Amino acid sequence: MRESKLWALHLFSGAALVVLLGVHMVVQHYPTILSWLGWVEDDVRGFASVAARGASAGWSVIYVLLLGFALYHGLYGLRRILHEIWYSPAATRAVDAAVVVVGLVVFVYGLVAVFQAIPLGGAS
Amino acid sequence: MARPSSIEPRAPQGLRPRRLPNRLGVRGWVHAGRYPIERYLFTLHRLSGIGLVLYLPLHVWVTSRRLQGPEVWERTMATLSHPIFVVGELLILAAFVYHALNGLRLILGHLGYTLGKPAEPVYPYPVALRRQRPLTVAMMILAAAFIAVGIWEILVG
Repeated sequence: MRESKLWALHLFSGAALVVLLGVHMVVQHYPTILSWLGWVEDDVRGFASVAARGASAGWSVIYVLLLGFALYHGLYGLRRILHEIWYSPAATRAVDAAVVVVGLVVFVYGLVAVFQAIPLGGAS
Repeated sequence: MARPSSIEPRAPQGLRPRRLPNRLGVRGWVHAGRYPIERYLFTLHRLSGIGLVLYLPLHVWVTSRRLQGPEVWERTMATLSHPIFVVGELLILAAFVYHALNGLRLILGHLGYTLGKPAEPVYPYPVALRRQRPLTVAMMILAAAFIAVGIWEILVG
């Protein structure tokens, strides 16, 4: 893929992350503010609450999108920084390969974790 | 034939460098020289981005601990309530809020918004960075507010 397309995808994934990660952060880290707004949930990080979100189709989709966009956006940014430091053709190829391998490994691991968490909703 | 980049020095075919050397290296990230505040925001954007991308695999692993059942999950959460991890959580929250809001400013700039229309260079010269300075200020005020509320939530709320 042309570098300009990869870069455009970096911008798009960044904008998507502001929305998706914003929702994730508000739900996980701003519970008092949410309760003031009328959304009261006991212990958002308790097992029952975590298992219920893991079993929800909507949250599972958000988690997969978050994982994919965050990995792409983060690793593309890291790749550009590393290219600035090590800019020989051999080094850039090595960095590209490493970024793809790390990205795929973490994505598959996260994907398995998301799908395996679906039956937990009934275990709480 | 590839169109020559305007920033590459003109050189005979075959002698043209594949890449411009990065003369300042990592020092260039913090060496603002005559550049304004946005240069330091750029450095902070990189640092927060590196922190967030290194944290991501760790976060995926920690959240996958729920698969081991309620006991393992509650034990993990108890471990994460240690002050060292709370400080780490605050840093990650601040890094995300800053990176997201500064990133929105950068996306708008990259797409050509906020920079103003091209104009005749009459002194005092119109500077794109000066034109988008109100957005920079607004984003940083928003970031400070979200970070302050986040710190309050984690420590007090």
